[in-house]
Amino acid sequence: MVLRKGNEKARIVQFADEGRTLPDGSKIIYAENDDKIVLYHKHPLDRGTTYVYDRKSGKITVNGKEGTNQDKKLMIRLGSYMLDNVQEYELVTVSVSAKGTPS
Amino acid sequence: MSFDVGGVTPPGMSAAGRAQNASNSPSTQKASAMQTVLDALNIKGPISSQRLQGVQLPRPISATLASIQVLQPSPSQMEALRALGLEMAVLTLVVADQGQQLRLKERLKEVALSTVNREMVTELESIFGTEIGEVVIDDNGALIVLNGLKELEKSIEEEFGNDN
Repeated sequence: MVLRKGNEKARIVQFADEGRTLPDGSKIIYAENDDKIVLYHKHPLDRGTTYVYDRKSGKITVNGKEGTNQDKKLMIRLGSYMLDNVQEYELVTVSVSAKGTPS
Repeated sequence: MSFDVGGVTPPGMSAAGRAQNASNSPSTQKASAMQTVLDALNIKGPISSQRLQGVQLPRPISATLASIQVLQPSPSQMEALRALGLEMAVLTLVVADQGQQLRLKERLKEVALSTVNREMVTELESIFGTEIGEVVIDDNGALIVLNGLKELEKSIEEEFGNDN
């Protein structure tokens, strides 16, 4: 259940078990809406890194700062790492929509 | 199903006073809302203790066969959502048979779909003072991620193409 403001729609892909980590101990959450693709990556005790790809401009930011193609590649590597180390049944997709707006 | 919300009773307060105090306290109001949630979800059985917006939910009533966890959003989840520009709080209801992840997922779906219950949502909105969106949980996560990664790859290829 998501408490929210605005009319945005988003999809969040994460482990069904929030305690689940990847083999290196990190966690990755994928999220997207019509405008952005987001990958959040966090190692225990470290500050997380948020990669935000703007689908319209093609630009990427990393923790709010402008990134490069290398960051896009890293984002792809992280996403692939997530997919390589998870079974489909371990993931859930949370589709969020405003009241009365089917997702 | 009923449960007890723990609290500190002022010394010397009568049973009636305690009852009056309990019925008026914000924690009891929230507990009542949580009871509504649990009833709406038709959740029965022992309840584990978790914090919900500062309210301590009851400790397990008996040996735990299943648990209900009312969770604050994980920091990871919040970061991802914030990056999408969604100003929100996330409340995840997870009902789990301990140690059975497959069941967890099934139950997670059940609960999330049940949140469409408007009466319950309205009550939660009054507690949290914000709109609650409706949530559907499905099983196409890997495909969604894969498509997103492909889009990124395409973006890189296009950029290199433009450079040339």
